[in-house]
Amino acid sequence: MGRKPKSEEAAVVSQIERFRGLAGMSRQELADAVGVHYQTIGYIERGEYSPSLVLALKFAKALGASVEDIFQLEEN
Amino acid sequence: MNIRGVLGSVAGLRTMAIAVCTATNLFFVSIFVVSPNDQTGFSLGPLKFTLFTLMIALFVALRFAMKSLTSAKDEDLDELQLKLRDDAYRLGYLVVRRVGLGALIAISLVSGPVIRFYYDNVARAGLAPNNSSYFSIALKAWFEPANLMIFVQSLLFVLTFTAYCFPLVILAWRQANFLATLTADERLAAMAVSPRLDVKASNLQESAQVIAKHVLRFRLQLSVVAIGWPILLSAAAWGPYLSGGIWSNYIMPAGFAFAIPFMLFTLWVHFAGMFKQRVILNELKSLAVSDTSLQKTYRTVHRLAIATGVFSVALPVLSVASAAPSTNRYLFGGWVLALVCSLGTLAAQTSSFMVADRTAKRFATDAAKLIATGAEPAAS
Repeated sequence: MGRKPKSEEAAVVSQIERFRGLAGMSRQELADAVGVHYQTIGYIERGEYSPSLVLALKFAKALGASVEDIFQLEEN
Repeated sequence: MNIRGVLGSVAGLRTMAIAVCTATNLFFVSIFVVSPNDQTGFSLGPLKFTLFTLMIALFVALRFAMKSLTSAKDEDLDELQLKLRDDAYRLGYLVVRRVGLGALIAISLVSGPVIRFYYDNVARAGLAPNNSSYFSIALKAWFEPANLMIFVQSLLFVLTFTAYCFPLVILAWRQANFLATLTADERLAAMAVSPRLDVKASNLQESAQVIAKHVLRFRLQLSVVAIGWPILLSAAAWGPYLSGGIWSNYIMPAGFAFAIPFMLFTLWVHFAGMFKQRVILNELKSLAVSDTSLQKTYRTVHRLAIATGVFSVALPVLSVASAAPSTNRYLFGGWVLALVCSLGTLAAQTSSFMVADRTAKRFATDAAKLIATGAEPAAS
C-alpha cells in the first residue's frame, strides 16, 4: 500500500496541440483564453507538465472539447 | 539586440548559469587558500576580490534576466511557473544543505590533526619551522583569530550566496532549454514583459495608491540614509577615541568595521530605490500621456539615478580594491578615502532620492487630476 514512486506514476498524454489546431488558435491565444503564460502551453503540449484539474477544465472550455478528449492517461 | 535580449537569449542564460557556478566554486576554493605572499591570511586579495565582484555582477545580471519569474507576485504567475519556481528554490535549499554539511564534515575531519600539527610544530617554535613552507604559512594565517573569523564569514557568505543564486541558475537553465525549442518569433514572444496595468480608468485609483505607497517608501529610505549614515560614521570615528582607545591603532579598523557594512546597506537602499523608480515608471506608462514633460522629467531622473548609482558603487569598490592588498590597515589615507566615498555616496543618494521623491509626487498629482476629471489616459 502507499503512494507509488514517481517513476511508476502514469503519465498524462495531451491532445492540446491537435485541438488547438482544430480551433485555429495560436499558443498565445490559447494562453490568454485560459489565463496562463505562453510558455506553459508549450510545456503541456510536449508532455512535460500535467495541468491541474482546474486548468484542464479551462482548456476543455476554451477548446470546446471534454477533458477526457484532451487529456488521457498514458497506456503502458 | 538590447541588453535584455542578450541576457534573455539561450546562449546568454547558459553562459551566465555556467559562469556564476564556476565563479562561486572558485571563490569557495579560494577561501581555503592562503597566498604565500600575503601572510595577513584571508584578506580580500586581488584574486578573491575579482571573483567576489564577478559573482555579484553575474548574480545581478541573472536576477535581471529572470526577474519576470523570480520577482513576480504569486498571483501574477500561473501554476506551472509557480511549480518551476518552487522546484528551483527547493533544489537550491538542498544544495545549500549538502554543501553546508559537506563543508562541516570536511572541516571537522581535518581540524583535529591540523590543530595538533599547528601546536606541535608551528606555535611552540614561535615561528614557522621553515619559512618557505607554504603549509606553515597557511597554518599561521589560519590560526590568527581575525582570519578565522573572516574564514567563517566567507564560508557563510558562500552558503548564503548559493541560497540566493542557485535557484536562479536552475531557472535560467530551464528557461534556456525552453527557448532553444522555439523559433525566433516565438522567442521574442516568450521574452515579452508580463502585462502591466492596462489603460482602463478603473485602474487609476489603484495606481494612485501604488504611487502614494512608493512616495512614502522613498521618504523612509531617505530618512534612513540621511539620518543613519552621518550618525554611524561619527560613531565609527569618535567612539574608540572617546572610550580611551588610541587613534592610530583603533580608528582605521573601527572605521572600516562600521563604514563598510553601512556603505553596503546604503548602497542596497539606493539600488532598491532605483528599482522602485522603474516600477513606478512602468506602472505610470499606461496612465500618463505619451511624451509629456512629466515622462521626460522622469527619464532624466532615471538617468541621474543610474549615474549616481555607478558613482556610489565605483568609489567604494575602488576604495576596497586599493585598500585590500595593503598590509597597512592603519593607513590614515585609507580612512580619508573611505570617508570621502561615504560622503560622496550620501550626497549622491540624497540628491537622487529627493528628485525621485519630487517626481513621484508630481506623478501622484497628475494621476489625481486624471481621476478627478475622469479623463481616459492615452494608450502608450
